[in-house]
Amino acid sequence: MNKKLISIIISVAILSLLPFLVTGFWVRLLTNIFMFAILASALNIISGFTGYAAFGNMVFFGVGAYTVAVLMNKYHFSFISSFIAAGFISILLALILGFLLLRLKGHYFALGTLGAAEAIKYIIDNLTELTGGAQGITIPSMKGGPFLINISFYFIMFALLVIIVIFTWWLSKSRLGYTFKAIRANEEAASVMGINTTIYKIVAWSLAGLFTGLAGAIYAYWFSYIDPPTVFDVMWVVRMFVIILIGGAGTVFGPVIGAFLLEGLSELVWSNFLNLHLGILGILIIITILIIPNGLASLTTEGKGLKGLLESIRKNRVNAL
Amino acid sequence: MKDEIILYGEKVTKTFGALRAVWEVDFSVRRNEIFGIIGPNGAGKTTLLSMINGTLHVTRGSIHYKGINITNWKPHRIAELGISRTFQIVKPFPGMTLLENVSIGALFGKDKIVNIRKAQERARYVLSRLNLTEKEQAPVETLNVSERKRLELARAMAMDPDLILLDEVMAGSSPADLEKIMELIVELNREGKTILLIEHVMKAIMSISHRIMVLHHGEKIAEDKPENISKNDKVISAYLGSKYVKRSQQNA
Repeated sequence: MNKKLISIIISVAILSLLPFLVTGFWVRLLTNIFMFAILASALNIISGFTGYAAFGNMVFFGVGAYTVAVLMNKYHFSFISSFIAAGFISILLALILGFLLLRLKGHYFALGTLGAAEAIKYIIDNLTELTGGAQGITIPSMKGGPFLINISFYFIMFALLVIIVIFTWWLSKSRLGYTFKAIRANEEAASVMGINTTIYKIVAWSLAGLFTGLAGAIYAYWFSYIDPPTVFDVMWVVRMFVIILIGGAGTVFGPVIGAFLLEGLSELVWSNFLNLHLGILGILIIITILIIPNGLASLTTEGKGLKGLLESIRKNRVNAL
Repeated sequence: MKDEIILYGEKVTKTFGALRAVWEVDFSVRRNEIFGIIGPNGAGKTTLLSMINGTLHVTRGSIHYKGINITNWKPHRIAELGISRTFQIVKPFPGMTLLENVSIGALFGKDKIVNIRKAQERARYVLSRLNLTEKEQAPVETLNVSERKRLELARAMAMDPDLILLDEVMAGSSPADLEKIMELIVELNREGKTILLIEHVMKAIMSISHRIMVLHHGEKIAEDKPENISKNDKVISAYLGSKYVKRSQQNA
């Protein structure tokens, strides 16, 4: 545990100093990785811990982004206040959608969330007066030079990432976390033991929605232009799921590890082999499922490192036979 | 006080389409009683239990607990009233240790203990009563059938209920384990818990139950003391076929 704590402190220290030492490209890449780590950690709360595949989770990202965009563009709010508003609206949306959709289970829930996300995308697309519709909307950009802007977004994303990781760490040891895990493991048994599963599922989704919406809010300010097809793109969720899969669902650091690996690799592959991009990602997913079905984080929690990896390869080969 | 009725059902009925799984069953369980339910496979025993604790919807009729009509309440609200159950097909929470599994019973259930350490204390006590202390850190996936059955019982006990519904907790146990579980059930009953028990191990249920109800094709065919149940013609016919009833009458 102590070893773990030290390595965390060291990596936080390195990541705090890094933006002053590297070029703008790397700062932006890392900011992007942080954003995906936040998104994946948020999805991890509802999908990893609670076991509900929220395939429409980008709806919160889009709504968070649009809240900031509309409030800053049309009503001249400051970023801070629209950021807070984005959080509230995301929670509100999760409560409403959760109340309707969390009666569904398994694939039905996944499809239901996807449907709801599409519906909301079209609503925003058609509220032309307010949202600019299909033309998109611009957000007043941050004042200052490129270096200052880069560094600022780096640290805003980094701060949110640290918050969600600490929150997930707390969750993994708390009564709330046990509740989520019990629902994932067996919802009927959980309810028989006195857990109001509907309420707790809504809580889980609201937490996921909150962090996803906040990440969307930062994204909007960072990119200073958004349109519905971009922020409501289903690829956001696909990436979040792949990250969780690679890193380890239901773990604290899995989504962070997964984000660094997938987004880092993706950037590298993207810039060098444009056509092979999706193919390589596909192979990566297959390898992960075959060799480390519980994700990279399981290698440390199961306490065996490389030896554990070899063992799990052997075990899975036996299972495959 | 002893004869006070704690749980009763009136014309409780469950149909699946045209199938009468449970048909107009009246029953009443007294406080601090061990009440057994027997019947051939498919008689509707588990269905009845599931309706009592809210995991299955009641088609018709009503169920009352401590004077409250609990018909079709959500399972978690029934758990909060102090009713817990075990599942015939065990439902452990995978990915968690035995201790964590049992702690959830204490964290929720009737008492809703908020402090995890206190919940674990109670879970440890329950595990020690079931001889599972050594395995408390074991992942539930590694447990054998008998241990899984005991885990079901442990989770139900950790909720500290007044009424425990046991669905075949003894099946799959070795004779030695069986003896221990029987002892434990009697002990829990002595501590003041009311127990409703479904069991196929006849020797066990006949020896510990105060009263027994027999279901056959979803209908109640008998309710009596164990010694009278084994002589009941309808019961013998349900289990062994009607020709055995004639034979036993001739012998008598």
